[in-house]
Amino acid sequence: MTKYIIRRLLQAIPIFVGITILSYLLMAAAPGGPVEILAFNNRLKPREREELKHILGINDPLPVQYLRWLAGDDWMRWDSDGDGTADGSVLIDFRGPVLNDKGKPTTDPETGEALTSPLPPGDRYGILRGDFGVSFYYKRPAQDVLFERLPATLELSIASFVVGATLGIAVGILAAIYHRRAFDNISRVGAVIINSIPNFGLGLLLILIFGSALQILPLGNRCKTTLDPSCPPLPQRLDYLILPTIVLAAGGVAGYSRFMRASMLDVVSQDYIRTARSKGLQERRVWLRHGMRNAFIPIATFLGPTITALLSGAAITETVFSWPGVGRQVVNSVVQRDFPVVMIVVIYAAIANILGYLLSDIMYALIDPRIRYV
Amino acid sequence: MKLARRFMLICPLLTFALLFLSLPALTQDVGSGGAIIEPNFGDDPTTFNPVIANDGTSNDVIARMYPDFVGVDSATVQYAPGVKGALVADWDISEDGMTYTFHLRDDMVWSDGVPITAVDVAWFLDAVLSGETSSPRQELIDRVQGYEIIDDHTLSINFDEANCTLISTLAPVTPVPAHIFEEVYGDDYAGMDENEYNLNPTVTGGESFVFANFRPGEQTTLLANPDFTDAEMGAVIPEGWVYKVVTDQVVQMEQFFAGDLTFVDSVPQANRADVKERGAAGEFQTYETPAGTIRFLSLNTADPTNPQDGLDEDGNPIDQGRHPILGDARVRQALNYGINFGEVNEGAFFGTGIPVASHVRPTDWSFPAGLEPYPFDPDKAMQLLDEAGFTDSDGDDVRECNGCLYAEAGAPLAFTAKTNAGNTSQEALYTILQDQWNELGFDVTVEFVEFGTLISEFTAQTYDAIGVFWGLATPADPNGIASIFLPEADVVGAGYNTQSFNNPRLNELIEAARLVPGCDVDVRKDMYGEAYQILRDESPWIWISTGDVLLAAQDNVENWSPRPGGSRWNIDAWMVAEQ
Repeated sequence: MTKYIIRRLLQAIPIFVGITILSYLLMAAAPGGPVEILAFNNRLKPREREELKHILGINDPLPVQYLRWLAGDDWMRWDSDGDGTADGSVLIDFRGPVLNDKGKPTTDPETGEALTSPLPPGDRYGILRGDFGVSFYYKRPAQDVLFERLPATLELSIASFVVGATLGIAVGILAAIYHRRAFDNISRVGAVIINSIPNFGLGLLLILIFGSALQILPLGNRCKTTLDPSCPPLPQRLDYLILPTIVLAAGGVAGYSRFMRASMLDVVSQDYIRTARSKGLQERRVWLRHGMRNAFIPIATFLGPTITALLSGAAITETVFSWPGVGRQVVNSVVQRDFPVVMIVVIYAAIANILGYLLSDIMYALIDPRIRYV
Repeated sequence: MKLARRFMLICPLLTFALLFLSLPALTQDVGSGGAIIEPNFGDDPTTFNPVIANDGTSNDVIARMYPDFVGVDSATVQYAPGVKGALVADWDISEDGMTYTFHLRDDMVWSDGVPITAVDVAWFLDAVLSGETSSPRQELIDRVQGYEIIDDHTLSINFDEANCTLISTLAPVTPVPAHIFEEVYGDDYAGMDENEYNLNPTVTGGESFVFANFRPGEQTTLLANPDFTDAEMGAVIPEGWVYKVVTDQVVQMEQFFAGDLTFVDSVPQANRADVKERGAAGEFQTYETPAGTIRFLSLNTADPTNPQDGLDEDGNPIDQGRHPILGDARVRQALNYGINFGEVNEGAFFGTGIPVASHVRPTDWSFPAGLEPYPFDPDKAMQLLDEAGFTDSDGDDVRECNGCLYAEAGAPLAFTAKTNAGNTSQEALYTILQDQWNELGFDVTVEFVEFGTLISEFTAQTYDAIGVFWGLATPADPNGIASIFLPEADVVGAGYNTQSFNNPRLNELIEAARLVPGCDVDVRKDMYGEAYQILRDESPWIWISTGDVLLAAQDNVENWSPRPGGSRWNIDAWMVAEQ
């Protein structure tokens, strides 16, 4: 098993690199760059907008931008005499153009040569050395922007996963046991209805009912608004978690219940279940001990990816409930073309996804004794 | 004698006792009025450092905890000396108009007790004028040639020319605690962005509040500033101010209705009627004021298939070609005459829109009398199209070029108007306009595009017509937005004269109005008036509407009295009474 995990992790490296290249290309190819968004201000002059592109490094060729993000630029442009300005470079220039009022490079009127000014040495280390860059919008390290949102997302994801999986699996098992009876029919219709309601609609509906009309639950946010520097511990603000958890878990309940029901029905039609029954085992023991464990095997295939999806945040639910999570942040960052923040979330999601699928495979082996990885 | 001696002894004792007793009462007043909770519908603030702050949310917070340099009078909405919360008490202008000497107040202190002086202004100027910060303040860099600290409370600033907009050029200048900034940032202005102090300032002051804490994605919290000398009631009454993130408009209003928010500075259109009705019934306090935004449709007058700058390197005009349809001013005028604003107003703005003829508000000083929006006159519109050589010769209800100026013969009178997707009022507006214009014989296609993509096309000048909002500066700077119609601003990918408009008389007027000797207001007003009339007649933009903004506060907020120049001008006096 250990060898298998190591092999899978090694195989994940090219997948990971491929994901980063594709994501970077997609992001850079999207129309409208960060300067268009950051500098949409009629008081700004053309030169300021061009200078901003130089500062952000987004007018370098795309491969250079990717390489800078991956491996930094301290080796691309360096200062060998310690005067604070670059005096040597590879791939990029160590002097920048002098721009005129229109933001265009200028030339010496006598010699016709391009006028340049010194640039500082590169100071980025790249993601391979743990530097994920500085957010274009927030002007602070991209990892800080992600990590400060992670606790809220984890809180909500874990709660909704636990509720969704527990209820969904239980409903699925009961629906299979009471196959074609009232409970089964109600759960099937319920699953279709829940799956048909978009999250924002369900979220607003719950807020209007339980927050506005009945006034028994809060109207969004993560905790009560006070002058305090942080939210109180989770047990003191569980009421704020209830509605977003219901919204996020609803889809899980519907999905898991359908999947578990189908899996259970498939298993109970197998010969070994018939054998168990013919041995005179109690029906409860047949369903729960022999049926349920085997029915879990297909469930395990999407438990891992489900966990990663939850970890990546839920943009719509987080927006409706003003929940300060990763999902809401990444949507904002995409709109703002904040490449460093988008890319760190992509990396985080890619790693979570790779580990999620690995987790699924490991769970396979744990649940199904027939499967052995070598 | 003995009695007199006793009396002399008792008197000071009594005075001390009275003073002692009165102290707790005064202390109680500071921050005794509950917390003000205001929704932040936007993103998190990016920084609390005024030198690099460049987004509206950050500036909203900064305005609550740093003094202005030159203040804006909330009643007149003009820069003025000695304004509440501003450091400049008065200023003199040299005879040549190029040196301004500012006399600063001497009673303002930072939260650590250090007086706010000219050195604090100088630190801001040094950082910005270095040109190394990431925050673009090019206007300031171009105009300010240098400064001199005459004494702690006197500072002179030298400009590159005498013009009438120099005070508004200084709008971004904000005093910062130099003794702290020097220690934290040193002279590493370029590296200022990544400093952790930006989001955890330890010393603020000079305004109603001081910084308390920032919770990313949740809220920013300020506390009452006990040293604020301009407090209306002698002390800052609210305990604090919380700028709370609420990212859904429906939820925001539900929170307001539930009393979770103290006030809302822009009630969404869908809730306006309800809030006004409930306000009239005494449930809330409400206030309507002209909006600070204008909706417009920019019409590209040049060839969008081959975008060119307006001027070459020597300042000579470049042949940019003409837009086949919108290059003719008569077609642009016809579009204006074809707008039935009443229908638009009901269909897109819930009846709250106000038609405009310019990007200048009628309440602004430079707005000329008699500048009227185009009336709805479809006959006049069709007559103009006929004159422009666009007639419907094949009876398909779409006009074609039959002798027009710039399109090929037989080409349909067609163009594409784009606006930002997801904005329901913009989408409704352009759907209605499409119908109205097609009635005249146009074939208008409307597309709703993601904002970043839209702006990219806008600056690349590859569009026919793009509709967006534009925020107006307060106080109004007539030169600021008018100068985007100058050819110098027609730079592909970087300038905002994306419609490639160039009218020599307008160019002359805008420049001359800036440089009027003595800055005579009447002379400048005449010049701007003529400029606005040219823009209205030539119509490189279709100025569509502005509107009123409805502000609402809970009925338990005492001393809430918004003014046209700001709803929070007396926030230090607000008292949120317990209900």
